[in-house]
Amino acid sequence: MVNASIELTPRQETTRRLSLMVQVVTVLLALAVASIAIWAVDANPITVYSGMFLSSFTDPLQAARVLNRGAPLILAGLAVYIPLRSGLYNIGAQGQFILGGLVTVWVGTTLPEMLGIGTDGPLVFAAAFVLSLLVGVVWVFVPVYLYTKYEVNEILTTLMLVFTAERLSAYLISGPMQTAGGAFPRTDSIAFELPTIFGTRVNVGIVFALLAVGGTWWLVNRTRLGYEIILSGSNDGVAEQAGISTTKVTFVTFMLAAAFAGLAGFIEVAGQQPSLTIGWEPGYGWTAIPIALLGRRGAVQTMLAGFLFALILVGGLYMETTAGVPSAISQIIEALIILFLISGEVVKSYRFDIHLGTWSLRESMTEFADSAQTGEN
Amino acid sequence: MLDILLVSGLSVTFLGNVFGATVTAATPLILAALGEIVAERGGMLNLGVEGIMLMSALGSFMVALTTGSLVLGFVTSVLVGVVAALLHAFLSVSLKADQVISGLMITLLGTAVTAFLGNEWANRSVDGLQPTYLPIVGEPLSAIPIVGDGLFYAMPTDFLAFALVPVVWYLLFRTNLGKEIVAVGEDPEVADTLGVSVFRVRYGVTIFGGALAGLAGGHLILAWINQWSNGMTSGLGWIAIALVIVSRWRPFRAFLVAYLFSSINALQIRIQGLELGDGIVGGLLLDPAFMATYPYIATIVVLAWASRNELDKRLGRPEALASAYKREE
Repeated sequence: MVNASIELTPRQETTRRLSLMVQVVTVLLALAVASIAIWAVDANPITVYSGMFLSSFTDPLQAARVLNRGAPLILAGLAVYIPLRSGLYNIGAQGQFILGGLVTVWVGTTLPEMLGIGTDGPLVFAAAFVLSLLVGVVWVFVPVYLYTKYEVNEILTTLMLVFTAERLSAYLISGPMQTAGGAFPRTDSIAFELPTIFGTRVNVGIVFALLAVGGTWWLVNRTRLGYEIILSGSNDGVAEQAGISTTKVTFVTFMLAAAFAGLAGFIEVAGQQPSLTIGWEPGYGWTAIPIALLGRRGAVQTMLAGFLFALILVGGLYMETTAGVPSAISQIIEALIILFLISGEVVKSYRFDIHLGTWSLRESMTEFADSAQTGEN
Repeated sequence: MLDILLVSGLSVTFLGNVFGATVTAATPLILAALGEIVAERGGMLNLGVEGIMLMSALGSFMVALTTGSLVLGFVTSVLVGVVAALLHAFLSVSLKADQVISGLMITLLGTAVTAFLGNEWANRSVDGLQPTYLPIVGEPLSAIPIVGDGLFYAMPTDFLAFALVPVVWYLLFRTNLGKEIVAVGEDPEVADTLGVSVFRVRYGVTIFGGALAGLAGGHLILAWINQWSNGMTSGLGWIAIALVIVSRWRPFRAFLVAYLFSSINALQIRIQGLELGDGIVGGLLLDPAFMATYPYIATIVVLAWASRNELDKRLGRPEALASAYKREE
């Protein structure tokens, strides 16, 4: 057997140019590999990609969609990013998102009658807004409590609550919240909607999202609590020695995160879907995971990743209708971005060399460079 | 709850049906959990189980439908699991990537790829595996009331899952290879000093885990459901990972807990059609749509219950789980 191995030597420093290059190459490689899938369904990757990305810049309707979908995506991305800063995973953003949407419909369809107020007044709007935040917090309480008290793995508990939320949503829509009449299970419609900005098709969801990004940036980078969050993320032992209550940090980060995910549900319902059917929920809470991983160095990076993924998502849906390429191509690209991102981490932190028997990649590259130089002379 | 069941015709047949459904539903959990136990014992956390199960289910379905061979279907399911596990091992052992992120990526990738390719396969069904008697002792023993049929007249993959439980236990705790695996999972530095190849063991356990997760996906579609739908695993892979923690990384306990979970699931499916009336019990708690949440809630409850036992926590969890091994030179 030939001796094959990869040798990694830690780098002394990572230059900015290298970091940037790795990120760009990451996205390009993801697109290149995903083109195999496009080719597999008999489409031309170049036409698909140009349609996917250019349409959002040339067509105002598409651009509005990117912003309208970007808002819940960015909020859900923050919902994963904030706990990630303290070293913990909120894999349950999707569940908190679903609950936020369900509560919004519940408030919009039952509260006005209960209190005798208008169905599209500011009071209903405000109540749905606040309750969507709160329901997210409630939904994440049990996982956080179990983690801080008994160290129950937060990845699994938050995730189980996603599946619970999906089933609960189906139960409510086909049962207690189902509208009278109609062939398919569906809820009643809410009467309020997110106002749009200056006569465009863009709704104010994006404003909420950008405020949340600003707030998160300020919290993490400019407050004592943010310092505690980052310290808990780097090393639990150090944080405890510095007198930081990791329990408090965990509670605060997860509750803030879940509130943002709940708000994303509110924006989706009040912006796009006034009534819900079974399976109404777009997978924003899932997409939030790659968004946060790509943007994990800061709230602003998370926002940029959110916009990138909104672009990919909207472009993917556009290509489904125009070129017949399944829109799941967007998720394939997202997963591949993570794949190449974690491979790129190696390039950033190590010099690597591949050995095959007596052959070495780095040696032969040096030889090649040398011979090229002598050739020039 | 028992009263209601009695009134609505609780019978030996009903319980027998529930138990039979439990066996079929427990097998993918047992297979995937056994694989994950071996992987985690060797320090490798693979959160890609759900994605692997999806990819192997669709892959084996495609092959079984195209070639008409269930055997080739099962071979494909294992191969898909091995390839995905190799990717995970390459990223997290060779490239020292974060195991959590690498595993999540595989689940995301599996979900995406199957959603992308699965649509045209959605409305077809495969002539699945048929139940058989366990050789020699199966036929007489299946006469045992309630559990007989489920245990002795079942799918070949069910029998394989039964058999693998003691095999994996023996492998881990009674062989030299098992000692090496556990050593690598507990303290890779020491294992390395003693001459165990940490890289080889970690690749090996990951591939073993991937193969069993793949087989679980194959069973899911070829022996159980026989039809493809997007996201058809609906969290089974994740429940298998939870089982590993709940069972404190022990094969026999994983087997028992898998049965506990699956009986909840089977009861929920079988209870449909029984007249249960309205009110909080019949209208909510025993409403089939609401009961669909139970397996997930049960997972959380059992996870919490298992983690409460402080003493137990130190028994089982591999010390070096999910940490990359960087050899000091």
